Amino acid sequence: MKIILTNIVFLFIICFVTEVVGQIKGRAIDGDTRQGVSDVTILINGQSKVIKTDYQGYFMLDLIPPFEIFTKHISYIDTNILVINDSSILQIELQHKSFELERVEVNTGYQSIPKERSTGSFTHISNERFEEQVGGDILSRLPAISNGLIADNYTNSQGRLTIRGLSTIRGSKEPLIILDNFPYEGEIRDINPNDVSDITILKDAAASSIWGVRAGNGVIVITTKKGRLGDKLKVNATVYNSIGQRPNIMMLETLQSKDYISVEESLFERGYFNSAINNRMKPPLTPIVELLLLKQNSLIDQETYEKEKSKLEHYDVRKDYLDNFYRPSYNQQYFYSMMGSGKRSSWTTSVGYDNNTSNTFERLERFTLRFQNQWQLSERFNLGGEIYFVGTERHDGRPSYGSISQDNKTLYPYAQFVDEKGIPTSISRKSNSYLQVIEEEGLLMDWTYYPLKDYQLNNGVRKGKSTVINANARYSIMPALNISARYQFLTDNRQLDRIYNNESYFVRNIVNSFSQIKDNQVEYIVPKGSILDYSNGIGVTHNFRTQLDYSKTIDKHEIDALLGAEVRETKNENKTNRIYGLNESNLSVANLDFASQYPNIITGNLTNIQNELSLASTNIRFVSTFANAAYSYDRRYTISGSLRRDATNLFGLKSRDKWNLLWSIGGSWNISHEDFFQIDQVDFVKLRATYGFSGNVDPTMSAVSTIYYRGVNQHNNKPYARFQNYYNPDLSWESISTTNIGLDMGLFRNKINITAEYFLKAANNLFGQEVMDPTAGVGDLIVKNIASMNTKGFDINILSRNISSGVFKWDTEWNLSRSLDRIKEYYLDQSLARYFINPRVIAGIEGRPVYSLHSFEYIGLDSENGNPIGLYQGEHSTSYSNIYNRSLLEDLIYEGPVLPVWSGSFGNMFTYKNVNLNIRFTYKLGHFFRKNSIHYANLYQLGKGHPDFVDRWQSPGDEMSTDIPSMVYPAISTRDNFYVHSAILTQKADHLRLQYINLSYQLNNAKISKLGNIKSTLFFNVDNVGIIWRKNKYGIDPDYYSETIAPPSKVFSFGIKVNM
Amino acid sequence: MRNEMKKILSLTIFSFLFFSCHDFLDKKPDMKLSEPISLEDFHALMNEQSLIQTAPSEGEISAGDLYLTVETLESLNCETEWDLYLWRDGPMTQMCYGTDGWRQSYQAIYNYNTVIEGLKKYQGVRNSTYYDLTGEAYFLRGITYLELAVIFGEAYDQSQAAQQLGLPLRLSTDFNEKSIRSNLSNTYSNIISDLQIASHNLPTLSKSKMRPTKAAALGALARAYLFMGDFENAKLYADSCLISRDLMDYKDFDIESDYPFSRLDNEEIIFERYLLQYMSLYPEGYANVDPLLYSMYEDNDIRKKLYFKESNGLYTFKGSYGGSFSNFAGIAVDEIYLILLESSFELGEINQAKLLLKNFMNKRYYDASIEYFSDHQIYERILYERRKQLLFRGTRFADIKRLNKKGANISLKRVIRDEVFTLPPNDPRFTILLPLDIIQLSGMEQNKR
Repeated sequence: MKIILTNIVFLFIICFVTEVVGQIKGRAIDGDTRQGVSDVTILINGQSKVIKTDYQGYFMLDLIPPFEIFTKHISYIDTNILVINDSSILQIELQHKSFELERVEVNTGYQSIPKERSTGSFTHISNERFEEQVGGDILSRLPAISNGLIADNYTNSQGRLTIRGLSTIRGSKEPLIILDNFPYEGEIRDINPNDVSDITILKDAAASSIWGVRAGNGVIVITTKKGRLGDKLKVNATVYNSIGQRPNIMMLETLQSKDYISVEESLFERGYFNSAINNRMKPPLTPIVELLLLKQNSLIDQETYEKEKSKLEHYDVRKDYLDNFYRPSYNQQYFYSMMGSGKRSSWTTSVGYDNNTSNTFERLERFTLRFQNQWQLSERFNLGGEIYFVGTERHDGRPSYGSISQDNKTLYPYAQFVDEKGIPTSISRKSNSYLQVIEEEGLLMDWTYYPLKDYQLNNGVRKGKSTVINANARYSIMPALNISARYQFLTDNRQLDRIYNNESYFVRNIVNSFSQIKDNQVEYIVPKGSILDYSNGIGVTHNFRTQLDYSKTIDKHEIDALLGAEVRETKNENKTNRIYGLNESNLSVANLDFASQYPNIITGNLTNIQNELSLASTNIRFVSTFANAAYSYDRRYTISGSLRRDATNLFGLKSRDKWNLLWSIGGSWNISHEDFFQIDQVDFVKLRATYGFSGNVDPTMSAVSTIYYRGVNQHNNKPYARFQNYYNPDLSWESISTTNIGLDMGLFRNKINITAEYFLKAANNLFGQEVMDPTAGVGDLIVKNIASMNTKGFDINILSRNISSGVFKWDTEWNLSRSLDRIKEYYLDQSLARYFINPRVIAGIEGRPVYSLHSFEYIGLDSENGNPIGLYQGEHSTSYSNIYNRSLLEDLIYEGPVLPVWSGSFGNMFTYKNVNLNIRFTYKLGHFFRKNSIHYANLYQLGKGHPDFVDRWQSPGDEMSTDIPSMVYPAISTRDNFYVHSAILTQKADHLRLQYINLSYQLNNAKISKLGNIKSTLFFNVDNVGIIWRKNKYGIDPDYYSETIAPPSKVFSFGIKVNM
Repeated sequence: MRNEMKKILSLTIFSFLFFSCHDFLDKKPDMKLSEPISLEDFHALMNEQSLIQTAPSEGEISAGDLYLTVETLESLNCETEWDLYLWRDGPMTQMCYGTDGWRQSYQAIYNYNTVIEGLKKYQGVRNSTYYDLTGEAYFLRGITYLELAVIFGEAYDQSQAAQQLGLPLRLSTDFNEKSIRSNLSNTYSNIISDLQIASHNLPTLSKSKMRPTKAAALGALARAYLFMGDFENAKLYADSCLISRDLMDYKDFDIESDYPFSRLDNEEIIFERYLLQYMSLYPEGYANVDPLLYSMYEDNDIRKKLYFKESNGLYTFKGSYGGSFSNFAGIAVDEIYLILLESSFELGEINQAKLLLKNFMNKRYYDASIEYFSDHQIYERILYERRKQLLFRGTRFADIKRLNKKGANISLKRVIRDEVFTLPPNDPRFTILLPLDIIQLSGMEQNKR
């Protein structure tokens, strides 16, 4: 009984206890089999006194703590232990050398289990691998180093992580993030990566079903560093600087100024700008149109025009952006941590400070502080607590490319922010003639906009403060039975203050718009002072969990079980407001009349002053019960199962049918432990299989018709509401069943470790958008549980220790994943082709992926006029209205999936003496994207150009060398829409990327007697090295293909880590 | 040990019981969310300006009062608008400005149906707010159906109405119900009954012109009966609508003003509503008035200057009763007055018509005389005044249809770069096509061609 008790305590908290007697009895045991290990060399305090363990692993020492023990054994990893305790038997767990990489504990957030005893699919990311990358946030480091996980930048601008492809259509696609046992509701990107000890990714149902309805997209469990009983004092300091190149915005696709001007000239001639010129709103005109207008009104002659024009033709706004608004990014990070243990307690503390400046001068400061304590109050009772504080402050930077517009048009490419003499130039936001009138009248405030001055007048600061408090208690009822309780409390405070100085365009624009002129006197309805927008959001989350753990080994039988329940509540409150007429020097503010209407100075239209006051409050609650059990026989056969029930207040406003049951079963077979298994080259083979369910919940859904209060109708000061959801009695949770079959192998004395897994995710009851007859009055689409889909694939991880002799070591890690989703059923009435041509919108076609690329058939260009020819009802056609509006789904070409079918990474780790080099490649294969091209309607209307314009069809014969349609006026948007969605623009997205290179050098370990060993490591890191190979010939990075954002540029980091 | 075990187990079980407590899960997940059950909710559902104040405008673009220069037309970049303007049977699927009249109107109707159903089930006290809301919901549903009917349906003909294609009448919140087009007779009788229920429930006075009153319902009834050719009822309702209301004298307005009328103190407005804003209807730089229409205004007509502004040799309309570039399409005294005029004449009450016309013209002309008009001239003049008074109100398209039915022989014509587009009288294209995708989805019958 007592031995089992000690074993259990060891298993969970790994602490070491000794007895204060002259003689200390110790035992070295195998960490796996827990059998004694003989012939272990024991060295004491670095002295030459050598002891060997006996045949049962026992040894005796004549020493009084504290002292330090070093162990050496041919097949076990060297260990050192600081003995400070004084009770019972000193037990030393030895870890198999050959199992070094395999012997990891995977943390599900509910329990830690040795990986080789698990049945489910886990990817464990060690601290060492995690720290190969520098900077960034926790999640952005993962795609390069984990298995089956990608960042999708194509359908989601945030680079959403997906684990093993999609398992939902409309629901949230993000994996669940667990930080220290509980879902993290704060900003995960604010958590300091240096505080992370290791990460476990739960990929199949056996792994994730314990997380219930929110685990359908997989779970990422982040565990922070913690001191352990028995650890000696460890001090770590990390400092680094990194510099990131300016993004290459010069490569962003745009129409050259010269071509843009020629288009404007021809539009002017056709009278395109007449309606803008005559418009009473006085919309701004581009400099060329203003010049043409002057020329037309004989205010300037042709010569002056040509002179001005030739000047403008040479400007490139991208260069002005780059010169004035971009800089190399610069990050500084300081991190300092200590951990250690006392007699009955262990502790960790850390402080981190980051100071980053982004490419667009955005400043981020982050301060993190952490205390963690664990007390062993008695042999039975264990108590722990943690406080984690994160404070962030972000300052707005300068405008990024594309963010400055003229009215609602893209800024003309020949715009200038500063002239040759270095004087800031203006971008007009009203027509020049009107601006002139204002200037002459001298009544209103200046209404010009200077990009180079204006950003300095707007100052936005976002501050965040999060505090996480963890408390846990564990009591051992019987040696095999523990009861524990955990509580987590999170407050997350977000504050935004954005001041628009009274000189800023923003303020002047509002003030002028509301100004009333009577008898040459101006009455300011909105006072001239600054405007302050502020908002304050507070999120509070409570988590409480109680859990019973049972763990017992009787001969060859091992049982591990847990049973528990938890409640959680996440409250969010937000207040937003705007203050007008703020005097920044004495903080006086103005009173405004939001209820009255005032005529707009230009249009005379009656409008209200925008009242930005708004309040929001949400409260989401979950109640769950769960159970999990595993039984192993002889370490050969393991079966496991889990159950979980969740309920939430999300569905409907009344509680009914909220409970949902999710379960999983699994089994594993250690073939290599069988007697019949006698293959010399194969050291270890394990086969495992699981099946189970996890869920997904869309927090916006509800089972009754609900309305949402949007604000106040300014005419009558009474609230108005819109429908948020329409009554749907059948609404239920999405459920995802996952089948996982895995094979773990160690070959050639474990030089090669292979994990191969096949998975099948079948998702049912998925929320999907059903196309509605708009006549029903509920819009064009309605969400129902209408779809099901399958995602099939496999993950392979190969770790190979190619060379591990002497001073040189070379390891290779290869991750390869395949996943492809297919819609199984989707009750879709829609058959018109044009609803399926946007690859970023869910297609919902049976047998095809959720995100599919569909194109119109493209025949070529008409040799007479350069019109693109398509197909309509099987015939060549240039009736674009028919092609675009009447083509059916079956007329489209299905090109392929938009998300990668194959993905993975390839890493090489070299060690020579003190030098360490890591190079990691990532790749994505088998998917498609669509190249942008010229869309004439968008060019005329929105000013959106594309370099393809230059190569357009211009005269007969051109059709032999180009596929780009001729320019026509008036623009036929169906012609453009047909062309930009035609097959001719489809590209393969396959590419290989060198993600990072990490070079580190371990300085000679100086030994200072008082502080122990000092291990210092210098490191140099290059991130986002670049694309090595791509399938498309246009030099496009398919992961970051955008009109306004350049692919991430190289980041160089240099730093030092000191461990004592 | 045993006892301890029991204690802990029962404690655990107790905590499980506590967790499944239902009250904990009855909390609203979002405070701004609610099930529409209270009168306040119903009010809020009918208080979104853009929803309740917007009338479909497809008819107005086709009606011939609008004139676009070739350059403007070409710069529009909206095929639906081109097709409407040139009476081409396009797919009508390009929603250039986010929505179209059909979608917008039926979405609003869903809200009205929700309110009507909700009020029927309402358990609370039936106070005046309850009846006001009932009236509002029926009124808004009725007027919306009326506006749709005159665009997408043929001119009402009592003898054929049972065979003429009407609107799909959606009268419940069950969105799974299939849309089936009713006949025109059912469509109009539903409109009439909605408006009548409204007139019985609505208050006589309202704080805001955004919210309908009894007079608004009576005015809408007059409009509906006029379009149905039922002059007796048109006159009856116009009469009662106009009790203690009179025309404004246009001599009191500043003809130089950019927008002479103001929505706040415009005494003729009974109920405010505006046409769905298509770019082509936007008077600033886009919409001009048909030069032929402009030439109909005599020099002594106050409206010649009050209504129009010259711009590059063409005239734009600035006489919207809302006092802005939004095209007023609500219920106003002038329209109801003209209905009263026309129906009085049609019912043979020539003398009353004469008196009314005289009063009308006194308020619209600097000096006007109808003393020597023959009966026929009176009739011509009534229609002439109606044409000149109600510009961009969403009524002209319906007027052409009903007058052509009586042989007015109004045809429309446009010339675009030498290409001639015409819409002869009683052409089937006077019923605008339903958007193609809606026809495909619902399986409804398309308008005849």
